[in-house]
Amino acid sequence: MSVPDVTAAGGTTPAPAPVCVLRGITKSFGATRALDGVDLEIVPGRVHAILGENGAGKSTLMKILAGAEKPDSGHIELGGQPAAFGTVREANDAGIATVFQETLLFGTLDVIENMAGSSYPTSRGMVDRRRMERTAAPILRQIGLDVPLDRPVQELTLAQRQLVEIAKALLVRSRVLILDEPNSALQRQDSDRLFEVIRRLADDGVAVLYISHRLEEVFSLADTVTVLRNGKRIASVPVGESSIPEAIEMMLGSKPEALARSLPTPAAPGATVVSLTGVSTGRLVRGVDLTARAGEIVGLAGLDDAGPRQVMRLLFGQLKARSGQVEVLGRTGAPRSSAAAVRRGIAFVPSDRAEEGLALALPILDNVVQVHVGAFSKSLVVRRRQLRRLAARALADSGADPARMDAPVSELSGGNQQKVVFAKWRAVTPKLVLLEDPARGIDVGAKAEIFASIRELARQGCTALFFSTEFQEYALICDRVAVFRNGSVVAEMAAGEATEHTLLGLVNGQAG
Amino acid sequence: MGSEPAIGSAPATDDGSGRSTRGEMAARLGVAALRPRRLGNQLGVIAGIVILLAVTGALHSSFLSVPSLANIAQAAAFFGIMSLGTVFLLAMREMDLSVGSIYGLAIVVAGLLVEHHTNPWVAAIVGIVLAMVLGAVNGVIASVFQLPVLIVTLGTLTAYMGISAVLTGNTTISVNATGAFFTDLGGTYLRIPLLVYAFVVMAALLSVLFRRTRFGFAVRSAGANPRTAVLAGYRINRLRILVTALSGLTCGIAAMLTFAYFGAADPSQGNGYEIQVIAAAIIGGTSLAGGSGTVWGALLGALLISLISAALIQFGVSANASYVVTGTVIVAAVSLDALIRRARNRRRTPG
Amino acid sequence: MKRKAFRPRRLSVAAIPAVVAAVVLMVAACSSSSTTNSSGNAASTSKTLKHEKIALIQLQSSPLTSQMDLGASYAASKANSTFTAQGPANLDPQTAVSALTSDVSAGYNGVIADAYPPELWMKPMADAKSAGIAVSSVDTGAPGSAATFHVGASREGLGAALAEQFAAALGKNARGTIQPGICVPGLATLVAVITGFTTEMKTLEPGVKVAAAFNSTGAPDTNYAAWARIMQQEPSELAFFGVCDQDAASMIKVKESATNPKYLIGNVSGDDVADIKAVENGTATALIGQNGFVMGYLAAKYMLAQLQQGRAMPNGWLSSGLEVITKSNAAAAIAVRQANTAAAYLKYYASTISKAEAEAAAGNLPPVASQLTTLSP
Repeated sequence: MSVPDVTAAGGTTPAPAPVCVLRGITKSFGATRALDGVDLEIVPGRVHAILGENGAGKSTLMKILAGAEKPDSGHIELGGQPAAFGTVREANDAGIATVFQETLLFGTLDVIENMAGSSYPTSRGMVDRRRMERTAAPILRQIGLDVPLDRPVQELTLAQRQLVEIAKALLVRSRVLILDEPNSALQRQDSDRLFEVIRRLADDGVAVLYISHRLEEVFSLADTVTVLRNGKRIASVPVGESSIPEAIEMMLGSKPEALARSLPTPAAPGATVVSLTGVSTGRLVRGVDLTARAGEIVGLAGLDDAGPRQVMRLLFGQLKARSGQVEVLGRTGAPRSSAAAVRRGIAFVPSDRAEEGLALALPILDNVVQVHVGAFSKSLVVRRRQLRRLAARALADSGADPARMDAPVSELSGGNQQKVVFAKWRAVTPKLVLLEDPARGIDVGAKAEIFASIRELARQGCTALFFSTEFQEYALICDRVAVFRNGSVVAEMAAGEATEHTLLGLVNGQAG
Repeated sequence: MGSEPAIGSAPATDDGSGRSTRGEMAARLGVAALRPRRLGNQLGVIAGIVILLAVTGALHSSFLSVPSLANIAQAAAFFGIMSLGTVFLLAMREMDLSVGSIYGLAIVVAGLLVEHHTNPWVAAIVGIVLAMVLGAVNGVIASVFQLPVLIVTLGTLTAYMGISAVLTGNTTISVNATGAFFTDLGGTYLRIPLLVYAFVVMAALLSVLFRRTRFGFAVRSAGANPRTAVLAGYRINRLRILVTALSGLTCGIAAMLTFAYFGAADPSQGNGYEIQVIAAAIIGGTSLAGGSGTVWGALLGALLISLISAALIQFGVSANASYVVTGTVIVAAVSLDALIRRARNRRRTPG
Repeated sequence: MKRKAFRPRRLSVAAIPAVVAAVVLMVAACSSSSTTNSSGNAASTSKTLKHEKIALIQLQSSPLTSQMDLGASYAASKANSTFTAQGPANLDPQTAVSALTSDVSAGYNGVIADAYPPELWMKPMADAKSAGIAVSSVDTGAPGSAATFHVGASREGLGAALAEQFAAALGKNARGTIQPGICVPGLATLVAVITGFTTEMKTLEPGVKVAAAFNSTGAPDTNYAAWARIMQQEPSELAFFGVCDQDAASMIKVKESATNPKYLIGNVSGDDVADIKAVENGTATALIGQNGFVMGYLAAKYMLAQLQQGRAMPNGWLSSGLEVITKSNAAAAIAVRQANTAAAYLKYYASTISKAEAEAAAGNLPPVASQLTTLSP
């Protein structure tokens, strides 16, 4: 079926026949209906973005296409033929490659081995690593991944691992490339490079399916946008015929202005709570000077390994300072272990919630009360009723549904999972909260709720240190921002001056 | 900071409040421990036990007599008490292979002490404390060198067994098994050996410890995701040592009750028990994946294993065929555990 | 923690009892029919004898215990009864004891047990006897227990018999040292063999010294390594001998790959055809067998006689004799083991059996404890 199509570059050309069609896809997980009769047409040579809040069904839809899940009803057509994928491998073989949100690499294997996966080239029955390297090198260069090819993947940063994932998918030259929030942890220049690659792939005739929360990106990159809400398809429109506010409205069913106003105003800061003087850990933190006061939200801006994450981990007892003075919450010296940090009243929200923030197999309740039971509960016995009350309150404060506590936390969407992580810490009323990219992979609605939660904590006198890979967030939530470059603080400014452009320039060594 | 909210101040939307009230009352009555929750997990084992009893009993009525059942329960208790401790280890994603050797060494040490005219009650306390220490040693080595307890116990399994052999010169120690210790602890009450009562009481206590204390919660948390637990302020090394010491404690108690029953100590006792100990816990529903477990399940698992052996003897099946059956059941149980876990993982992360 | 919405669990939960029940019933069905079938190849005679159910509990599986089972099962089949072999695969006395207690309620009429270690068996045997079960012991006895009848080989006698063969091979007035190996140092029944050897050797060859036994260990690979080390370090010894099954195989292998070995080797074990072949070709001087078939046969026969005809088992230790395998009779020893039928064994051990039966009939058997202290076979 030929539909008039407006590409981002302007002009109308009749769209080619879809390479992949989904009709009436429905999928439930227990009592939750994740997708309800969704139709989708994926057209080669076009970048097709899927938008939607958490729980709207984006990830499920993508997983079904990728072969990781099977729909309860509905059918899939690939190249005009009906198709059904039992495994991701089958989908891969059919020409659908996927880059998942949580990286699925083999940590102990190196870059080349991960890219090869199970299709290692062989020569005379033996593995031909040279040929693999030759094939892989140009792709990695394109993406701009500059790491030694024999480095084990678990030693790479999250950003680098995602690039390897993308490279792996590119290697297979698929007909359909699905990207699930691929650059949620990437810095701007890495993102831009990725967009170039995606654009080029699309021009080569690949159909790209792109799931992201970053609306600006979507509207600059994609050709078509499909909005999902509550498992249903609300609309599929060419990008030129829509706008960001309209997209938000379709996603949320409400006007965007309401959200921005809902953030409570900051209160005046109090006594100094955190003080770092000339702190170094060796390579990644070099002579950092930093202070933070009670009730302040201080942003630590920087590129991935520039120091902010490391400072947080140092304050949480995960890294040791080699020199310098640290004073936290009235005590000299950083905590010697995370256990000590927790008991001092420090909280840590890690960027990788699945690996470090949650116990996915356990119920929501167990996750929310985890810190409380471990360090602050006064009774030897676990008092179910009191804990449920505590958890309910913490969940409500974090914007989550307090009635739903017994399901395993793995059943929740990403945004709701992050709220559980927040609830875990709110339950023990910390005095210092270290936020390592708290809004990663979270949609607009959940982000607003979490930011409101952070503001609320600050209003109650808690101090927050905030790091994010999206520079526009800093002005939104922080009171002031310390900019890091190469392990030291190069600039400090009030939130009002911390525009995306300024920050980007400073972290990259340009004068502000 | 971190104090619990004042009662009544929370917007209580928690469901099941009626159930909690009953729960609190039950706890006050001290019966909470005896109410096995999540019966679903153990349904399979219970059904297996019931079916085996029914089928064998129908064909040989003497199988269901009190002495016969008491014997089955006793044979289960010899290794089953240790399974109760193993549940904690498995829930923390650890495994202790030296349980049989700790058991044997504790018996030997107690036997030697009594042989040299120590009061058997004192010898028993020494045996129990020794077993706890031996277990803790496993945990300490594992924590200091950051090794899985499994690996450490590969070594201590042999080491402890060797110490037994050295201490006894490979001969049996026989003691004058008179006196209250042997007749009371090793005796039979209402035709059931004391060992069986001890088994049930320990299951009740350890079940409460596992499900309703901070310690049990910490163990399950650490097993579900060790990294997250560390970042939530748990001291994993300390937990590990406590859990291995607890496992040692169960070995010690089982050992002393065995010693009281037999009135003799032989260095080969406990040889190879680790397989049955771990199998009982897994058959009972404790997953190898960690993060959860069931103490009552381990008791049921031990009963099932013992029951199968007894049924095979009843049917006159030769020793060699018996291994095939017991082995098959263990494989079946572990496979089912894996299948269930896989099905659970496939239902992850919608939206 | 209430709702568990995992549907797959219900299906797999039902599977466990099904699996358990099915497997147990299947094995029971096959096995009980095979026990009645395999109980001897002789057509069952005397249908007038009441059917009895007996069991023999061993401590572990070995060629010796298979022989015992064969003997006992033949005796049972001749007497219209069923026999079951029971016991753990590896040394586990507690499980063996549990089997006895299970047998009591499983309707067994008589149980023969390898009562090691004796102390562990005291109470259970007494309980079994008072429950009306006939008990006796085989191979290892429990002096003072309810098993007042015991069939087994003279432990010292086994050693003495080997010493005789070595002395004959060394000739008169030999001088030098003989090195024994023991697979479980300190184990009384094994130590007794070495004691018997040493005593006899002192009488026959006063100039020969028997060294303290070294630990040859139990596992076959470490056993071989231990023997290889000793035999290569001291090839000038007069002879080496062991008291456990695997010692023979190790010693033979080491000697066969040695250049120009002058020492003698021999062992107390007799059921491995490969080992006997080494005797046949002269590598090994002698093997002393423990007559497993005779042990099982006699133990079962007398137990069934008590159960069916009221003829009480004699009290005391009945020696099942020993088998001296040398070059001259190695071929016959191999032949009977390759045939591996009860009939062949009966014929082969005929004189041993009738000697034992005569001894039993005469009464006045020596006490059970003397199995470990008498030098005579």
